Amino acid sequence: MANRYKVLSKSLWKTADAAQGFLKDAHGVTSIKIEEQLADDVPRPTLHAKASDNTIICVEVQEDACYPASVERLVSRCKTAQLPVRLYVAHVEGSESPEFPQQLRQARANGVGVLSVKQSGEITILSEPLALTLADVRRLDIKRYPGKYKDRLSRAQQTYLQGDPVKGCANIHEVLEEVTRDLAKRLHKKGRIAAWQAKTPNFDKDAWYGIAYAIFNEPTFNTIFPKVQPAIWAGLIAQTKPRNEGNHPATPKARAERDRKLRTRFEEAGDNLADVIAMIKKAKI
Amino acid sequence: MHTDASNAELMEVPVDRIDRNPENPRLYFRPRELETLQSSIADLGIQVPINVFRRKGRYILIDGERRWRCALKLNLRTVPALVQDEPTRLTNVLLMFNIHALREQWDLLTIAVKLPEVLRLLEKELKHYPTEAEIVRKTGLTRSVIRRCKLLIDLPEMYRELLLEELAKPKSQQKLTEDFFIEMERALKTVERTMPAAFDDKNETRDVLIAKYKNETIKDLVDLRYLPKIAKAEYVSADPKAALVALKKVFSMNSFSIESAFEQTVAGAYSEKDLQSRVQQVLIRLEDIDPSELEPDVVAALKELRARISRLLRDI
Repeated sequence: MANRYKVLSKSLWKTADAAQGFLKDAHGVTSIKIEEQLADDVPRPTLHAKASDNTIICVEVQEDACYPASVERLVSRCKTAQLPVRLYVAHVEGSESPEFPQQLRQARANGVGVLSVKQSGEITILSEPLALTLADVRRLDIKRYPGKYKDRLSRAQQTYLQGDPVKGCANIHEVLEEVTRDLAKRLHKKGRIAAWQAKTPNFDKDAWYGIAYAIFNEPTFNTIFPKVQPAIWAGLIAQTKPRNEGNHPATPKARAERDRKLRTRFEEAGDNLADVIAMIKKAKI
Repeated sequence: MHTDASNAELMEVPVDRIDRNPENPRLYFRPRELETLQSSIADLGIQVPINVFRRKGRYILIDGERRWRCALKLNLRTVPALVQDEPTRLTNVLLMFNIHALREQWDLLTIAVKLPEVLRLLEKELKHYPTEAEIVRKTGLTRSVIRRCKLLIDLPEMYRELLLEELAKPKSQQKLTEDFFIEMERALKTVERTMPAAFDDKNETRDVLIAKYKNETIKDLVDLRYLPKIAKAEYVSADPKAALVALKKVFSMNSFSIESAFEQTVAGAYSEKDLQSRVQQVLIRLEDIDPSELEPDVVAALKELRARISRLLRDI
């Protein structure tokens, strides 16, 4: 696999060749481009290839660093260009600079994967990448939430950041749904909701959307939740609508658009959950 | 060296239409250097135009390979360049040496690999084999660099290849350096001249020294400088037979170090010779001293020296 690299220092060619092997073996890509353009105004990664999920898998080869200024620049430009790039930085094992541990934290925080490549070509994955179109997500401020939800929300965030944003969003929605159903049950116990409905809803099995609407349509809603803007509950109802962003987009552009929606959805769900919890806390039930 | 850069034209040249100069002896660009330059170019752009010449609709680099690589990496469309006409082959090679070797820290071997060709082209132009002074003038290299290069050029090909392979590795994985080979060759040359019986096969001896350096039996490059000293045992009145046995042992595959060989054979003799030389220097200084001008602390030091010498001589 003796490829010739124009830009990469010769001392890193073996590392880059090993990274090519990794892309083929671990990601099943066949056509790997070397030091070619991703998009205008975006630095050229050492390697890139289109993956089956329509992300672009890139590898940037470094000697002793995993998040130097050049990688930071590449990440920033990919985000600006809205490219669904999953970026690995492959570095030479045993060459790590003193700044490496700090850089590894930065790489992880920015959704960049890190590969450690031995002289023999053996590769260890230090972290998995997240599509950069997802990575800019605003992190959940876990301390805003009650203790009983903290662990689940932390895990939802981890799931998102570790490369499964659809599941990460779904995990937050599960908490939101649980909060909605609990509230409905409490209101029902106090003689609300059911009184004006033809049939008492099944608070455990009926669609989340229906339960959320039942609360919103409760005639005493404004009394129960004084000083609360209806927008908060309207926001929750918006979260309950069935979504199809989890489907596989057909092109990298569609993938970028889907990722943008998922990122927004994750942030909105987190904000909405915090608002709803605060609203229920102040409610006169 | 004649170049006509007066017609050079400053223009924006598409990055994709530039090729590296095949005559550029520099093979290795350190990743850190490129990283730093890339940041500078990303922030400030290319402040100094690169130098290229035209060839068949493309541009060949004369000066600015690192800037060009960074421009490619940053995906710039064009770079500012001084474009000139194609030089002769000799001029092209000499330009490489003069522009780069003076300004940047090149790996010595990359110069050494190219130097024989430079000498051949110079010989053709000058109609005689170039003198060291002519090589210095034409290439811009110092005499010291040229001599060190020659030691590397004279290495058998297998060792030059070994060194090239080593230089191609990331810094942290490099064990053998150009300095190691230069020190080893200098040492073996002297041993070969002064104590030829110390080894039979020079390549086998090289292999042993390389292995001992890799396994750290030879801990420091400077240890190699002890080898000529051991070989010159006779010059310091040490036992040449013991020195020969020690050198043979050093040149065999075992854990016997150069340092141990030195300590066991000639270290004492060199130490005595050193003392003798220093005493001679003091005696010469004492001849020039006017007693009336002696400062009290110098007088005290001399008295202490006299007392110590007296004690030492009493025990003999």
